[in-house]
Amino acid sequence: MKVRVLSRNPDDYVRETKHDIQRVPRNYDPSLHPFEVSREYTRALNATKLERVFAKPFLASLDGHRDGVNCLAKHTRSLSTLLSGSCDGEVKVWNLTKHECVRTLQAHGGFVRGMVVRYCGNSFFTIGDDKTIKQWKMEAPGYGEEEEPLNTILGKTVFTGLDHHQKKGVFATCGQQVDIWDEQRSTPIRSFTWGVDSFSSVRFNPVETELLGSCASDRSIVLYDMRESTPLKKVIMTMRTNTLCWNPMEAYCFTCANEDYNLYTYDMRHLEKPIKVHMDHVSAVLDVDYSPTGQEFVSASFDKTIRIFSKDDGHSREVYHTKRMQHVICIKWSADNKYILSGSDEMNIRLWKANAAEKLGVMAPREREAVNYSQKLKEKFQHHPQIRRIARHRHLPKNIYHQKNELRIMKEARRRKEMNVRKHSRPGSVPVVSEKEKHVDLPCLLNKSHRSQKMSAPRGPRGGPGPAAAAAAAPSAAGAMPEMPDLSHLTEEERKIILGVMERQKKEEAKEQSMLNVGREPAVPPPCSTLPLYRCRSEQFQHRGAVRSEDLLFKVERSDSAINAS
Amino acid sequence: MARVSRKNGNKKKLKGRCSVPLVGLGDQQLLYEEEDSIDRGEEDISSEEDEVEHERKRQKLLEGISTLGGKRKRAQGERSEAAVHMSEFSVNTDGGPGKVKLSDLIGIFEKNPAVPAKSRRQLKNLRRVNKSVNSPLSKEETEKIQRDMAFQKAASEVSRWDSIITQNQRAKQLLFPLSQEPAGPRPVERLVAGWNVQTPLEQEIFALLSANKQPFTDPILTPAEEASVRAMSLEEAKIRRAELQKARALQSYYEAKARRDRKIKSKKYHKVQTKAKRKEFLKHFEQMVQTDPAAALQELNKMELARMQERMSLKHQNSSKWAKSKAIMAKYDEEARKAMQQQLEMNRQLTQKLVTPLNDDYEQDEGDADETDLLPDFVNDAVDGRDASNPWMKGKLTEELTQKQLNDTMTEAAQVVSTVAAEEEELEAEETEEEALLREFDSNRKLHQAQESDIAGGVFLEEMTEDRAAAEDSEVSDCLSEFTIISRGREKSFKDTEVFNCADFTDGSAQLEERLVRIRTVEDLELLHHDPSAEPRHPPTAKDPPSEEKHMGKSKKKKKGIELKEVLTKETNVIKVPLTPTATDSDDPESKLDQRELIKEAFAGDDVISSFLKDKRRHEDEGKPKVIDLTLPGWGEWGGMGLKPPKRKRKRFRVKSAPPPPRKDQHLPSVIISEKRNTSLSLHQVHSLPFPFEDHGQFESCIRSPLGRTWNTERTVKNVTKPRVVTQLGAIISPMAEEELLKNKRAVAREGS
Repeated sequence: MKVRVLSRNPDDYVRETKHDIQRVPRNYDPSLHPFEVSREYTRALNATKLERVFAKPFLASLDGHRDGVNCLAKHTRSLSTLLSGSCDGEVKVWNLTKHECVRTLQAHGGFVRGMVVRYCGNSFFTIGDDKTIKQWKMEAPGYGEEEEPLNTILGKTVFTGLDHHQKKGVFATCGQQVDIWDEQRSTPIRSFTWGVDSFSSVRFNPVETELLGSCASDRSIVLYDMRESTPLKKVIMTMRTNTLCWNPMEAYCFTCANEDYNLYTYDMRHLEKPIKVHMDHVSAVLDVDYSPTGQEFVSASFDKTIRIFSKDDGHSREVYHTKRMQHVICIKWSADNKYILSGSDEMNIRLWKANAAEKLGVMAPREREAVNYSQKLKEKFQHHPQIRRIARHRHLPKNIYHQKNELRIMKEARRRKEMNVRKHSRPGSVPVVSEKEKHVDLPCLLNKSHRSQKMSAPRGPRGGPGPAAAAAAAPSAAGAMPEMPDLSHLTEEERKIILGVMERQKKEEAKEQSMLNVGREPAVPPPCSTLPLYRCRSEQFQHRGAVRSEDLLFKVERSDSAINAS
Repeated sequence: MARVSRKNGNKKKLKGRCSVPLVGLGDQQLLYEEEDSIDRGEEDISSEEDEVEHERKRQKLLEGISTLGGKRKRAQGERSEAAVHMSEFSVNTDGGPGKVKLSDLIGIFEKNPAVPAKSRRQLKNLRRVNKSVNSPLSKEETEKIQRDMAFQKAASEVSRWDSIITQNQRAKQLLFPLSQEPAGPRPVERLVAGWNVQTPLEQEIFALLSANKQPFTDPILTPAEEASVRAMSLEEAKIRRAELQKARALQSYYEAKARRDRKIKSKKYHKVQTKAKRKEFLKHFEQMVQTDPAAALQELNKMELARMQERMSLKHQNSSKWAKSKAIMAKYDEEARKAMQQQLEMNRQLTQKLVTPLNDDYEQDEGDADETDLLPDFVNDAVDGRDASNPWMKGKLTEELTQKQLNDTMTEAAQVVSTVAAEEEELEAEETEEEALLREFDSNRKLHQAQESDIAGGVFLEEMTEDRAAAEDSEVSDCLSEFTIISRGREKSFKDTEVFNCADFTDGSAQLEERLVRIRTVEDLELLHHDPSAEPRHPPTAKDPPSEEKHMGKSKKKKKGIELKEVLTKETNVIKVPLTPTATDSDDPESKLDQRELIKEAFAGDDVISSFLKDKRRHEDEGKPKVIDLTLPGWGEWGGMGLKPPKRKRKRFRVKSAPPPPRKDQHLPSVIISEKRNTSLSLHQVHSLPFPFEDHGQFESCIRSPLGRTWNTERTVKNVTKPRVVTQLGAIISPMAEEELLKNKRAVAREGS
């Protein structure tokens, strides 16, 4: 009798060194694993839970400023260095690894409005309320030396924003106009104006380095090319944009932080409407910064929270807040894509993790693999209700939570109203305006009827539609049609009434137009843009109760730089 | 122009109203450029013009007033000076006497002989053309056009990033920073390469250099240095250092071991030691064969003698008392059986060694055949069934193979007794050569691996011995191959015997070492031929032969080699061992039957089918609507103990509900389909199709495919769980640069070609 005996090659199962993992032979035949989905589901659920358990984003708070932190600047060459400027004109240089301030200098009288590190990392520029641009050395002065700027330029007006070119010795400031400066000269090499006299921020495009974008107080975003003598294009939104940030990996995309609680991502070639509207904040968004990978951005808001958005998502993936953090004024995403830095009103700079549950430091390869696997599992099962529920759960402070609910209700009501109006008017007379189109005020590009509707509609998400506006909505929409509507089916009387209404409408419009024309002559920003804004801000202050007078002053200045500049 | 002037009239009125002068053109332009109407633009541009006209009118008015006085004064000759701002609008267009016509100007040229004929002709042509030039565009409009142009330009410029951006969006994985430069200092040369001439002095120097044909960039490193730099990167240097460290550790370890060894008193231990030494000697011998054959031959003779000595003794011949007792025990005791087998094996080896092409001994041949008959089948099978490429089994394998070959050669040798180098034999030799080479490769590979593992892992005794065993194996095969290559003519016999010798020696040691490897699995334990427990009973095969014998053998060999009949004194006494099969065939029909009966017996009380039917009926009953009895005892009647509602009322208050729809398993007798929906499950289910998916199938298949390593191979898992964005720890990620664009272009070009 012949018996076949198993003979195995130990190469197949014996590990070469004891540091290797024991090889476990497996049979991957799917028929042998009937419960793979349910097992993976359980794993995904556990991974999601653990992620939430380990989500501790807050790392450190850097205190030392004696006034609110007004601007932050990343060092271009060193990850561990951070610069911050406060509302009392003080600039501090921080060592992030040690969580300590390494240098303090009194840069300006009044606010430090903007700050930027030169691309080489050897010096940095500051601008302040004292109408000066100062260039400082990055190293602290030696013993016995005085803290003196390398270079000081005295401007004619207050500068409000500053940015440096990516590769050349050129920087841009904004104030009453957008100026391009050569570092070697004391006068701007180029100045751009386009009907507005106060800009809040200017940013160079980091990829297409000759392009710039700026936000103006007339609710517009203006694009420039450094090489051209004229601005390129302008888009006017329903509310003012505070800052904008270019995507460092996508040359033509930028995101702007708006007063209407939203952020908008634009393709600079198609300014008619934004690519994406990012909502979730419950108060004005004050600052925005892209992650260096260009996949996400972080925004700082007046509602005392920081939110992280994916560039393709309409809603935030993360919200950070602490009990003591007040209005977040400036925000930066660190250059290694790991941390977020926020400067807020209550004089502190906070260091956060960009991924709340991420483990810091070096990971072993197996650990890394495990993390990758659980990440993929979470992605795979993200649509399952239980997992989604856990993954999406975030704690919000009470007031923000209520505000959010309130906003949601208001939005819903408005939507319902619009739907009703559409239902009860002639088909096609009340067009559907998408959310993206709603926030862009482009009279020339939009249909006239849209515009009139928009003009009559109240601005600002807080202000509910007034009764007059609501009453006017339907007829105005009907009447403002460019060509004469078909009235043949009506009786004589009805026709007369309608014609009369239309006549009146036209007159009103003409009057409005003339008013606008007259209003444009003096250099006063359009009343409709800033006033509700201002009101809205002050309302918030009342809500907050006791606020420092300085704070109020600052806020007012910030919200309406037109007043400030004059 | 007429239109403009009309507008001016309007403008004046407006101006009168607002006293504030226009600040700037820009200030008015609050909205989108397209919105700006032509009218407004014109009114702006004409503001200056307006003023001038105003002045003119005032002049006229003054003149008018002055003429009112009666006497008309003679106009005074006014002296005009060239002003800085001479307005073109102050030229009177009324067509007074001062009006200058083009023809007048041209006429002068015609008269002037200095004007060349060509320009004269041109002027004539000009006079013929009556078209008026279009008025220039307003400043606003030109600006608007400029802006448009600039924007178009910028937009098209930015669009060149399109491809790379879409590519990144689609990419499965993004690595940041985009341009990952190797860490560490860069060579100076590369830094210098990027530098270009700037100042005039430098330019001058470079001009001189180029004129004299001097090199601009003299290499900072010599070629040799460069080569060394290239040769030893950081990683290599690290590996090298690790190797050196290991070597040092090994050395110290050996030293310590030697010191320890010297102190050991055990005889057995030293026996083993001497064996090891012999092995060492073998190694030397191999070298000797190559360097000086004469000495090697002597050594060979010595060894031959030793082997003969071994053969003369009765060891391993199964004739001892112990062997007999074992034979009795073998039926029941596996250990004993094994020991017996081992004994037989040893015997066979010893007898077979002798059989060389030179010794023509038929008896031995027969004996061999007998032995193979006597040996239990499974022993052979086990050897045959082994993987030929399995290097771990190698010691055995080579031995077996050589034996077979030798058997072949032996039969041939019987025919051609003393003829030297027959053709067939050569062929055979070649065959063996090839096989030996193959084996050599195998063993070399093993050796290599062993060395590698030795380097990689720590210094462990087990591994070391393993390595050594493997090394010896390889050496054996080495010498084998070498010998087979050389085997021509007279020398062959010696070499062959030597081969057996060395194989014999190393065999014992290899088995000893192999044990460490083999015990790792149960199956291997079963396969073991040489039980370590049985080993110590048999002293190592080689003993130092007496000197006289050596002499004798030497002289004999010189004559004609070894005569088997003379040497062999006794036939091996083979004991037939009744062996029970180690494995039973499971395809035994009787056992199958038994199984079935066994199962029947075990489940005797169960009636599965009826219980299933019962179950099904229960399910059906549960699904049927219940009759609701709403009768209330005592309602509408006089009360009392044990009162029952009357039949009429019971009928009246019984509510029957409609029968449910027919069950799905109505016509399926052997199936129960539960129609109850499990609500607890629905909590975990996805209710609507998530966004990126287009149909349910897609989503389901996505969910169904597992990601984990329990269900996938390592490589698949790695591939599947690749994170989308990978960043380097502590590296600054700079924005996308122009180089990326170039890189992308190159990549696209490569794909295209």
